[in-house]
Amino acid sequence: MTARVVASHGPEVGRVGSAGLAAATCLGLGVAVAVRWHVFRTAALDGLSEGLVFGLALAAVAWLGGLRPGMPSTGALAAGLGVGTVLVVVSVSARWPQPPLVLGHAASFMPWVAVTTIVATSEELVLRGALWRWLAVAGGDVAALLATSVLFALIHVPIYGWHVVPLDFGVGLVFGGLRIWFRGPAAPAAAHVLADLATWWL
Amino acid sequence: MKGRGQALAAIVFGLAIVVLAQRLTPVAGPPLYDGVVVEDPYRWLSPPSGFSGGAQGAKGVVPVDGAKSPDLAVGTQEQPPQVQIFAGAGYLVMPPGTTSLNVSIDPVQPTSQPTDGVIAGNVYRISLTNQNGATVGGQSSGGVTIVLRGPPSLPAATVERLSGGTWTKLQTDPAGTPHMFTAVVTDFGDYALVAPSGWVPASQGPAPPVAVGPAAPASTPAAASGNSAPGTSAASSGGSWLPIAGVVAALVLVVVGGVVWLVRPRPAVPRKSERQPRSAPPARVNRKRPPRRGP
Repeated sequence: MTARVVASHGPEVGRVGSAGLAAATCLGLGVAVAVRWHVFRTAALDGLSEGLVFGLALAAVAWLGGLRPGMPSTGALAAGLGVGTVLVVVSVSARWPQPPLVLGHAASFMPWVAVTTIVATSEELVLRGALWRWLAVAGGDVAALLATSVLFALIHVPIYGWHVVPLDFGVGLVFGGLRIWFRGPAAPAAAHVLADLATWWL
Repeated sequence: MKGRGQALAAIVFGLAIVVLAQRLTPVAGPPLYDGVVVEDPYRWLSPPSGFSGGAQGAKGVVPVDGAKSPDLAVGTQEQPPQVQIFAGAGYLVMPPGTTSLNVSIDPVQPTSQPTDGVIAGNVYRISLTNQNGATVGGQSSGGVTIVLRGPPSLPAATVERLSGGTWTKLQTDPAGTPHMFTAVVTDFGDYALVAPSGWVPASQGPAPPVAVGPAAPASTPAAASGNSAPGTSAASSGGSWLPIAGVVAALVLVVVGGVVWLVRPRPAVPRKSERQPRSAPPARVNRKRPPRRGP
């Protein structure tokens, strides 16, 4: 899953054009988050359907943002899984010696795995795929790293509350580091999917 | 610092923040606050029209080996449980000679209403005794927590305990998933989530939420004054837009900040035409062979 942006949207749009495209991608992300939050707040859909709608909306935003993902490299996937494992270990060790919180899920495992994978991957395709690309053209990798990390923390606030901001900002930096290292969203997507799937047992 | 140096710095710094955030939070959350949470509908003890009934309780007997209390984790049957109790090993204060612990969680009708908000969901009576029925409590240093899950659309709530007919607030933290909250406890009794006044749960069916919350006794003064259960308050929906308004504002700030940063004044770079002209390239030497002379 290399980060390839369609040729027609290439760097020739310039810094200001890239900033505009980044703003448009941000707007699409904001709309998707608002829709998810509205569905969550009104309990209009069950959790799986809500996640599926959110994931597909994000995938559409990434596509409209010019991202055309290719095949991921084995190294990127392996590194992503390794970093995802570290995040899970940190989470588990932070609870020790308390017994684990029982979250439980009122869903079958495989549909939950599919939707969780779609949501996590789509978030990465938007944040560290399409949006990163335009932000990096406009302001460099460091600007993209900080902006996407802040956004990653903020998009979780409506459902989980403001207390998630420190943790998810840190996670955003980790995923951004993977994005810089492997020059694409595959590694952060692998880490993200693994960390999310671990919540089934945690 | 370019490329992989930046990447490594971001990963190390980010992991440091993750560790700090997980260690400093009273109750550690999931690896990242994300994912797909699928919940059973909230089960009410006395469901209002359009809401689900069938609130579950839980009972358990935990053997004790020695003087140190065991790890304890008990929850109700809903997914995720609507009530959970956790105690780390050694954090329970047990009477001498305790050989087993009896744990029970039961949804009950409230005997009074809080004055600082409305009960969000059920009131649960939590009991922890030893084999002789003697009360078991938690250490004041912490280590014993309860987790309560409220109905959907509960953005904020406080765990409160009914003591002497009065609801008392406990230090409450989010439990890592939506509308779940946790508090450290030192003794057991009646506990509930209390939401800000005016809160109403989201409708889960075609019927509107006419009356919400466990039915309050009619003789309760608070119930008579209308403070027992949230009504259909239009004002309550305004406050719940606050989080999304905050996120939109933050997104706008990020974008505006980025644009301002991009168009900031920069030191002038001389145009190409204004740069020092390079020295003229040396004239090409005509290396053509001279025409052959004729014989």
